[in-house]
Amino acid sequence: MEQDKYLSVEALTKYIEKKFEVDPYLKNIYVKGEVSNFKQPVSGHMYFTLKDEGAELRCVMFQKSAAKLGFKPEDGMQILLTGRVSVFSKGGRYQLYAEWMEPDGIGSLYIKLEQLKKQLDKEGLFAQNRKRALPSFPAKVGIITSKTGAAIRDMITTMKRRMPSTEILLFPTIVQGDTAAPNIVRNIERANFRNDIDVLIIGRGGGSIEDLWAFNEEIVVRAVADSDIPVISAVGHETDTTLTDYVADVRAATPTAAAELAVPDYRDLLERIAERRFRLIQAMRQRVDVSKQNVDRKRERLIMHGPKRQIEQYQERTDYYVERLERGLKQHLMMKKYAFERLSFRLTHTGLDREIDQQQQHLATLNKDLKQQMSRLVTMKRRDFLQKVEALEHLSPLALLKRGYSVVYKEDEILTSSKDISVGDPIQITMATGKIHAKITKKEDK
Amino acid sequence: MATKKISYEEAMKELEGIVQMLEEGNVSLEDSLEMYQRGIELTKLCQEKLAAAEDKLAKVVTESDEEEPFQAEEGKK
Repeated sequence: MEQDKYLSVEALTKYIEKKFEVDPYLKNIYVKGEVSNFKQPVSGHMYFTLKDEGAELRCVMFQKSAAKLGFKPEDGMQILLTGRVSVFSKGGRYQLYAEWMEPDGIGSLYIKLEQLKKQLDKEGLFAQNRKRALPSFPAKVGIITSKTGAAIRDMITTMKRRMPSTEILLFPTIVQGDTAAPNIVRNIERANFRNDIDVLIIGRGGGSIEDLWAFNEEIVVRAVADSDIPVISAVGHETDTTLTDYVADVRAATPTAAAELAVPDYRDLLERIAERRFRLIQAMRQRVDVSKQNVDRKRERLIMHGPKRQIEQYQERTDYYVERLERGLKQHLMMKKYAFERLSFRLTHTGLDREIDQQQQHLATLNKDLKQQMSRLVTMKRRDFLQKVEALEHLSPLALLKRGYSVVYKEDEILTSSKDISVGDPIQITMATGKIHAKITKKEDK
Repeated sequence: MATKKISYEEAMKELEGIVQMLEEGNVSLEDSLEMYQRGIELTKLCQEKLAAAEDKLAKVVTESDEEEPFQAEEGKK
């Protein structure tokens, strides 16, 4: 098939990827250039382009490696970078996967800085328990910073506004370059030597990492640690942190913030005094109230046990008994009255009326009984009579007739013997159903 | 009570102590009254210290350890 010659995009890309992978140089690349298009979304990964005059290279640094960096790359920054080059198939491009980078030129400084920081930390120079409290009302504030620039002006303005009476002493200091560190150290020592400064501010305005470097020098850090005067550090902006910031008693984000920490605002102080005064008065008032109550209670007790109270008590008791007596009598009377009423009620209601009622009822009952007895008697008598009738019935000659016997009459006399009749005599024979007349035709006597 | 030279901070600290003790209320009436008077005295003292404080200009310590008024200089840091 002609079509078999054609590769899929994916297959081709895979092939190119393999080519990259087998090249040992591309696995461990050292490259330097300028950062541009730097982006770091919420994922924490860093995406940027590394460029020089002749070319551009897309770079990625994953969050895990990015988190380990002691700095954040910015557009325009010259950096040194290590990593590997590989193909990003989905995007159809090759790119550099960065594993480490450092700013060009001061990278070695960073390493030195980290080592120094660890060393000084081990010695305990940054420990919290070394930090001293700042005086709450300093008379003299020493400042070690440049005589020019915004930092000193901001600090003076802020302090004057808060506490005009504060004395400010500036030790003009070189704060960047090679001579900065020894100059800072010298001025820390001078300030300490004077013995009249209550708090010291050491710092400078913002700048590049190189500009602030003097404040990372070991001699400066040790001088701050050795200072007898409490030190406020104010180096650069809030995001910059130097070793001086770590070792200082208090770290301020900016020079202005340092000035605020150094001196109180006199308006706050006035407010605090007023608040204490108010509490003082309140507490005293309460104390007096407590004493008053105490006295009142004692007076009351005195009155309670005095003669007047005794008389009052007797009166009270008398009143009480009189009242009880009256109450008792009243109750007694009431009870009697009640009993009487109940009796009279019973008399009227349970007397004759009820007797009559009862008797009537009794009579009715008797009547009923009588009737019942009568009817029973009648019934019995009737049954008796019927039985007798029945018995009679059995004895009646008629009954005999019914059973086939006949009665023989001769001239209206019942014939009971054959001797009383002769052949030829007429007779009547009564049967149950009637009479028949006959004549004797034969006779046999026994 | 004699008020010797006492700093603002010392006065404030003493005032704090007095207020707290009074608020706890375990002090005899006589002592309370004395403490109260002292407290009021201290508040006056602190207020006076704040009010009486004169404005001071910032100074520069020169290389020869002399002090001269600070003049804001324009220029780069």
